[in-house]
Order: sequence, then C-alpha cells, then structure tokens
Amino acid sequence: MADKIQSVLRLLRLYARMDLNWVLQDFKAALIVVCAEIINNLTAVSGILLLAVRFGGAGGLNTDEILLMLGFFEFADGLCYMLFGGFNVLHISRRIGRGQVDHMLIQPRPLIVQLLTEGFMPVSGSGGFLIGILLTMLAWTRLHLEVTLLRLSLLLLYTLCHTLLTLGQSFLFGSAAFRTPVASEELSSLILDLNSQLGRFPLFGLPRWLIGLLCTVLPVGLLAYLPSLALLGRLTGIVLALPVCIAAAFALASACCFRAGMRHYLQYSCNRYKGMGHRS
Amino acid sequence: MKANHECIVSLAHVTKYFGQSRPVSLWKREHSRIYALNDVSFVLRRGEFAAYAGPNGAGKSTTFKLLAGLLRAQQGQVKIFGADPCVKRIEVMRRTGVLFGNRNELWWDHPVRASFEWKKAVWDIPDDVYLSNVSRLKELLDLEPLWNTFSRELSLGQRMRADLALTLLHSPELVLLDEPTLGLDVLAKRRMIDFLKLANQELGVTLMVTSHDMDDLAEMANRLLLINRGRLAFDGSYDALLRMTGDHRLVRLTTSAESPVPEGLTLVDRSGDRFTYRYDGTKIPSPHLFTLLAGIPGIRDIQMEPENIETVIAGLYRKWFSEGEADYSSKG
Repeated sequence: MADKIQSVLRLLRLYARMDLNWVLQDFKAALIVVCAEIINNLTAVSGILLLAVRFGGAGGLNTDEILLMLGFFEFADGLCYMLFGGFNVLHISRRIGRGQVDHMLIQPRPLIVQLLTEGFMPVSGSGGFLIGILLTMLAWTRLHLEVTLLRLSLLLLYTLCHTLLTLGQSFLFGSAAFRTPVASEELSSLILDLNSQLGRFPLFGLPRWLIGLLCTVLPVGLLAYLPSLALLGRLTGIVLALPVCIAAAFALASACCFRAGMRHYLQYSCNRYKGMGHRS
Repeated sequence: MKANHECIVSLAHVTKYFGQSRPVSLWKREHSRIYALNDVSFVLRRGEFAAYAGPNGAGKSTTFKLLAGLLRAQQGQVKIFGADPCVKRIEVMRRTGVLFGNRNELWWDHPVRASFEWKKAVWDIPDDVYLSNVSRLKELLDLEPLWNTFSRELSLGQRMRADLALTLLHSPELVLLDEPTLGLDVLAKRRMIDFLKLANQELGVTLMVTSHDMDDLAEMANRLLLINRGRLAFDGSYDALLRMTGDHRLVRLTTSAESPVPEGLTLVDRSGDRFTYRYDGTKIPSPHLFTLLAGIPGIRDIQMEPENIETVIAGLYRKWFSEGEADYSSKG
C-alpha cells in the first residue's frame, strides 16, 4: 500500500512538472489560458450572483450565502478540474471513444493509478480553484462564520463528495463509450456541463419531489447547495450524510460500470464491428 | 541473433471473433461472427526476428492486440513470457515494447525529451539504465537534433524514430511493431530497418513485425508468418516460402528478335526490344535455360534475377483470393 501511495505521489510530481513545463514553454499563451479560465468561472457565477444582488437573495439564501454557495462550487469544482482535468481523465468517455485506452493498457501501471495521476494540472488548471478560494473566503468573512473544526471538516468532506460525484457521474455515463464509442464520446462532457449549469442554483422553493430528485438521482443539489446549507449550520441530522451516501453510491456504481466496460473492451476493443462505433 | 529455446511468445489454438449485427427490419437484427483469428498456433523463441504478414483484414493487428493484452481470445491460450498478458499485464508490459505505426506514444505538446522523462518515471527505469539507453538510442537513431523539438513539429520519419527509441527505452526483451515503416521515405525506412536488425542482433531483442512491404520484411526477419483470413497459412523461412511457391526467377533479354518466347518461359513484360520472362528455377535449371536462350537470335544483353518476394507473396495472396477459400464467417 505504501508503495502504491509513493508511486502515485511520484507520478503526481511528474505530471505537475509536465504541466509547469507546458506553461513555461509559452508563458504568454499559458497566462492567457489561465486568465480566460478565471474570467469564464467569474462569468459562470455572476449570473446567479447578480440576480441575488438585485433581489436581495435567491432561493431562500441571502446574497452572502449565495456567494458562499458559489464560492464552494468553484472551489470544489476547480479542485476536481485541477486534479483530473488533464488529458481527458475527467472527460473519460472521450478517451474511451477515441480508442485511447490502448495507450493506458500498455503502461506497466494499474489503471487506477493512471487515472488518479494523469489528469493532474496544478498550474494550468488552477483558475477555477483559485477563484473558488477567493469567493469562499470573501463570503466566509462577510457572513462572519466561525472557523471551527466541524465546519472545516464538513468543507473537506463535501469537497471530496463533490469530486466523487463529478467523477462518478462522468465515469458512470462515460462507460457507455465502451459499447458505443462514437455515439457516447461526448457523454461525460454533457454530464459535466449539466452539473456546471445546474449545480450553482439554490433549490429552495422547488417542489419537494424535484428537490429529492436533484439530490439523489441527478445529484446537482449535492454539489454546492446542500453543502453550503450545512456550512451555514442550517442542516442537522441524517441529511448531513446524504452527500456522502450518494457520492459513495455513484463512486461504487461507476467503478462497477467501468470495470464491466473494461471487460467488454478486452473482448471487443475493435470499434469497426460495433453499431455507432466506426469513426470515419 | 541466433534464437535460443526459451519461449517468449506462445499462441495455442487461439480463436478470436467479433460479433457483428445488421438491421434486417425495424425490429430484427441479424447477428454474425467475424473470425479475426481461427485456431492459430505458433511459438516465438528468444532472439527470433519474425515477420508477420498477410493481406488487409487477415488478422495481423488482432494478433498484436492479443499479444499486448489489449484483447482477450475467446478460445486458446496466449502467453507472453509464460503469462497471460491480460492477467499479468503489468509484469508483461515491463518486459515488452509495443509500437503501433498509426499511433503515437510521444507527448504531442512537449519536447521529445519530455516523453522520455515521462517513460522513465512511469516504467520506473533506473537512472543508470535510462542514461545509457538514451545515449545509445540517441546515437543509433540520430535523435540529438530532435531532442528538444516538440513532438507535434516532427516529420513522420522523425516521429517514428523517436517513437521507436521510446519503445526500446526500458530495454524490452520483446518488441511488437505494427507497421513501423508505414509512410516512411526510402532513407527513413533504411535507417529503421538497419536499427531493428541491430536491436535484434546486438541487443538480443526478440522482435515481431508486421508490414505490407514484403521486401522490408524479407530483409529484416529470418522467419515469416503469413496469415490469411484468420488462419496461419505459412510459418517458415523465406527460402522455404520460395520452395513452396516455386523458385520463380526473372530473365530480361534485349534482342532484335521479334517476340521470342522460349519454351517453359512466360513473357511478363515487353518494352521495345526488352523482354522480361518468368520461369521456375526448379523446373528449368540454368544450363537448360542457357540452351533455350542460345536459340534466340540477336541477343545484345541478358539479365537474370530472382523474382522479388513482394511479387511472390502478391501472387500467393491472389491465389488465396481466387481459390475462394471457405469463408470463415458463420452466422451466429
């Protein structure tokens, strides 16, 4: 186990160095990329934030609470992107659909180690994460939230849940690309876009059945809304564990589907005999 | 390098098929099987250099995928270093190098050097092995001028050289090369062939290569495996293949005579006063040929040469197709 962790850390260092080298190759271009990403993230949060400012809050949260929710979303999503955004690990259906699994299979490393490390881009992929930290800190200060061990633990736990939910959904639906490579190539992107668009909205005021749906089957409510309510101290009891349970369920389901997909791939890797599988 | 008895690659009665389904109506689909390999068996021993050839769709790439652990056979056993490459993928890949000519293992947006450093870390190559291999590969494949060039900026020949060096970086005992000379110009191909021969003879690497260029394969490999419609159609040396197909030779005459066709020779080409004939060396020995040619008046020049392997094998492929061998596809 210690060996595996060491090897993961060594590979993370390798990919961090490669990312840094990529940035340093053309610093001006890389700076533009990072700035564009920051602007993109700010634009993404500005819509709901402006609505909250205009109406003195939205979805049962006041402006500062909305800011906390958006900050948490950017922080957790940015971290996920920074850890797994490189080389389409997060968009796994692209790698499967484009036949790039072969490249992974010829490496003498367990697939899990490859998937945990290859996407790491701490320099070029840090825009959203940095914005997230800034927004969260700003909201935290404006809300005069106390920094307690419980709150920090919840922040870390829900960040982990956010990552598991995002990766889990991407891998769960993206595994369809093992069977229909071309048709499903962009499934992961669609799921991530859906999360990105809906995950930033407060759900308060929606019908209960819809909130239930958005916190379980399509768990966009667990990405930022529920965690921010927990951080604000508005949730108690079993509901606090909901993101953990759903994240674990998605992680498990995605692991099973991915493994089944890999078994299928080893049996039928050739795209040309599959319906919707041929790339012309 | 002379092969020893240690078995590196072994395929025993391997069958691999793919399912295919076609819509026959709105609700019904017809299922069939495409046999990529059908009961294929062979063994490759340490130090051998084998060429694996066959017409398009014969099953070459499928075999390579099976050997590299990228596919699992439905029947039979595939073993590399005595282990199933799908089960012991990591151990097998540490000792094997795989290069697909139509794919690229280099990191596109990084200098060539970065791909080598990446491989060193991923394959856990010790520093001393890495440094010595890099220096040797740089020299042999003339990589120094490319070392700091971005992979995306390399020409095809340069990319293949860098890719080949990367394949050999971890000192693999077995190298599988799927069309390594694909698209290379004459000079680049020459360098690639020379290097592969050197890798086999001096570094002791066991090699298995596919290509459609039979002359290249004949020059590189000492063993030829021919596959046709998923079945191993020939396994042996080039000499044995020539014996099997007939020792076809060409004789070119420059003569003032009008369309001379000596008995037993087949006219295959005529260009002005130059005539090219094909004959079977086993049926017409050289003294008999000279007697036949002596009967033709006005000969100014005679050239004799063996028919090149490419033509021999093209003839074989044509024969296979025209014979209309049993179609191995069967309804599922």
